[in-house]
Order: sequence, then C-alpha cells, then structure tokens
Amino acid sequence: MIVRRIRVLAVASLLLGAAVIAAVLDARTRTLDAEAIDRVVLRTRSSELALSTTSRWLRHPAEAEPGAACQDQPPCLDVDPGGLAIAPPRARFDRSVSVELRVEGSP
Amino acid sequence: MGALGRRASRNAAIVVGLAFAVSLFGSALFVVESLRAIHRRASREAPTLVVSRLEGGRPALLGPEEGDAIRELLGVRAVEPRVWGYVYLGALEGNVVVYGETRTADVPRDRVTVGPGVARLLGLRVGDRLAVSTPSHQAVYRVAEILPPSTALVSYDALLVDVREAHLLLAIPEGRATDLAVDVFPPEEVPVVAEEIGQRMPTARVLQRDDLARLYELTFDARGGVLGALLLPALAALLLLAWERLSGLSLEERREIGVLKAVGWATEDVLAVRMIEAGLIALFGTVIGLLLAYLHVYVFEAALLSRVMLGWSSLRTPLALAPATDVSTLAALVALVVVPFTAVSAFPAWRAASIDPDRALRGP
Repeated sequence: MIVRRIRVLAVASLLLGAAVIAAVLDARTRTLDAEAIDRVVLRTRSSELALSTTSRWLRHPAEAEPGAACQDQPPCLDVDPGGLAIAPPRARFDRSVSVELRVEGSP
Repeated sequence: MGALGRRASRNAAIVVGLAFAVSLFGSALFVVESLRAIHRRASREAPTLVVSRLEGGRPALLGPEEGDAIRELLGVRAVEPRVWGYVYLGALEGNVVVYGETRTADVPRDRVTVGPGVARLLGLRVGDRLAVSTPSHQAVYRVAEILPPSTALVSYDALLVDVREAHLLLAIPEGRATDLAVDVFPPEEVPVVAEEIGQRMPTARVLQRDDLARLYELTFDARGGVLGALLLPALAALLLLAWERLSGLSLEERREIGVLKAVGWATEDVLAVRMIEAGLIALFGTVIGLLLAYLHVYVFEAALLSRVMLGWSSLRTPLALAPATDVSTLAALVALVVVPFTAVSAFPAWRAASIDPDRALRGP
C-alpha cells in the first residue's frame, strides 16, 4: 500500500517536473519583440502603452492632459474604469463594425 | 512520503488551496512585471523631453517660435514638432490615436499605417481603403502597412498618416504642433535643459522621460498592489484552512507519533518530519500555482485579470505578454504565500510532536 502511494507521489512529482520544464521552454519562445517596439516608438515618438479605456484622457495618461488622474496623483486608479463591472454587449459593437465596412466597401 | 500518502485527501485540499492562492498572486505579479518590461523597452527610444504648452491649465498648440527657442539651448540635439490627437471612429465606437509622420516626398500622402487592433477590428489588410471622417476633414486612405501584433501594447489603436494629413484630420493649423519632442545629449544635461525651457517658456509643461517612466512604474505598482490587497482575504482563508486541517490529529496520526516516540524518536525528530511534510505540500502547491499563473497570463492572455486591472474598452489591447519575471519576484511571491503557510504549519507540528507517547498509544 505504502509502495503504491510512494509511486503515485513519484509519478506526480515527475509530471510536475515535466510541466515546469515545458513552461521554461515555452517562456524562451515568448520574447519581447524589442526591435519592432523600438521602430514604432521612433515613428510615433511616444512610449505610452495602449492599456487605457478609449476615454481620451486616459490613453496618454502621462502626456495628454494635465488634469488627467495620473497627473494629479501619479499612482491613483482610473476614475473611469469603463465596463469594470458590467461590459456593454459585445454583439452591438460587432454589428456596427460590419455595417460600417459595407458602407465603405473595402475591397 | 508514506505519511503524506496516508493523509492524501487532507493534503490534497491544502495543495489545491495553496495552488489557487499562488496562482492568483502569481498572475498579478506576472502581468505587472511583463508590462513593466515592455514600458522600459518602449522608453528607450522615447524623446528625452516632451514640451507642451498650457493655456488656462489646458493643453494648447505650440508654434514654430517655441521650437526655435528650444533649439538654441545648449545640449539640445533635436526638436521635433509632434502632431497627434484622437479621432473617433464610428465603426469602432471608440477613439483611435492619429500620429502625423514626416515622410519622404516619394511616399504618397494618402497612405496610412494601421495599428494591429484597428486592422483586426475593421478586418483591414494591406491595400484596403479606409475612410476616416472628422468634423474638419474627410479622407480615404490606402492601407500601406499594418503594424505587427507584437507591438500591440504601443500601437494597438494607432493610425499613422502623413503629417499634412494629420494637420487636416485633427484641425491643427499648418506650422503648429500638439507638443515638441526634444532630444538632449548628454543625459546629465536633461534636468538643466528642462529647467531652462521652463524659465524661457513660463506656460510650458516639460516632461522628462524618466518622470514618465517613474509614473508608469508607480501605476503598475499601484495596480498590482491593489489587486494583491483584494486577494488577501483568499490568502487568509487558505491559512485558516491549513490551520484547521493541520491542527486536528486523527487517531491514526496520534498512534503513528506514539510509535515513533516509543521507538526512540525525539520531539525534534517528529517536529522535523512534520515540517518536511508541510514543506513538501508547500512546494507542490507553489509549483502548481505558478504553472497555473503562467498558463493564465501568457497562454490565455490574463483573461480573468485583464478586465479587473484595465477596465473595459472597445479597443482593448490583448495582453500578449512576454515573461519578464526574475528571481526576486518569485521570492516575493514565496514570501507572501509560502512563508505564512509554513509558519501556520509550525504550531500544529510542534503540538503533534510534543504529544506524550503513552497517551498517544493508549488512545483518548
């Protein structure tokens, strides 16, 4: 009985070890595309990250508007984390995109 | 090992709880560290100084005279007027960022470079036409380039057009600029030049690249910290579970300890074995938790956390992140979760180890 339990633990340890090795190998393939990022920053001359909501004053929190939340108090949270609790129905946006594309007739 | 197996269900419950707590904290740490790495990289090529002008506390456009005045300063290597702003795209029901590029004469001005998010949401390919309409200007552009998805975190919602087109789309008069990108060399001169600009242009707001980087560091720390604070109740619940599970000794365990002490094991020996058991449980739980966090953040793009951290947006950038976690981050995680767990395990282990062998063997 004890031998069986030890075997189970040994197999679990081996599986876990294999998973760790797989994760380390996977991490090596996920590298930052530093040169592409450099090229974009050189073209836009802006290093601000596209992480905000589309509220305009949040897109460039450091640069855009002096009254923006992060200007007044650097580490403070967005006062407008749009859709944090309930996001608008995604389908509505999908529909509007397709309608617009038909009108514009993109080839 | 045998003892661990005999209490398999109890230990499995603790491993699951520990893995859950580690994966939550680990996910938050992984996201923050990866975002920090991207911003550090992006900052390398950003202008040393960004100069904007304020009127009534609001940003105002700059004229060529401001740029000329800055060019005269010692240490200023280049001054580039930036023309950029926001344009609402009805198709996306959101704002995209229009950047004006100074292009060579042989690149037609009706060419647009599109960020990966705009391209994906509008289904654009190279060669497609894109109609952009603002109150001041309407134009149809030919998509010349789509920026690679690997740059999404700096370009997801970007439209790069010829600077003349940017003037028209954003209703910025010719010759004026949104702000000025100033490159200064050597780096030691940056604060001096910043101060000099402030004195020459009292209405200017001068942002140093290091200030921007610091702001982002603070923002990432704050977001990660708030998320960590929100997860503290989960950690407390885990520690309570561990305490409850580890402090209750079954009849079988009492007998086991009684036999060990009867054959000569000292209290310290039993304590050491119990602590090794707790350590193995912590090791299993931590490794499983870290693997789950890795899968969540890097394979599933932090699907559970991204909205909590970033809110909702019609142009939400997918968090396709690259691992950037170092040993110190992992050590912090271990200190936050595993150390309290091991500490909570110590007292029940000591109580079990100091049990009287005679009473343990006779039973309650």
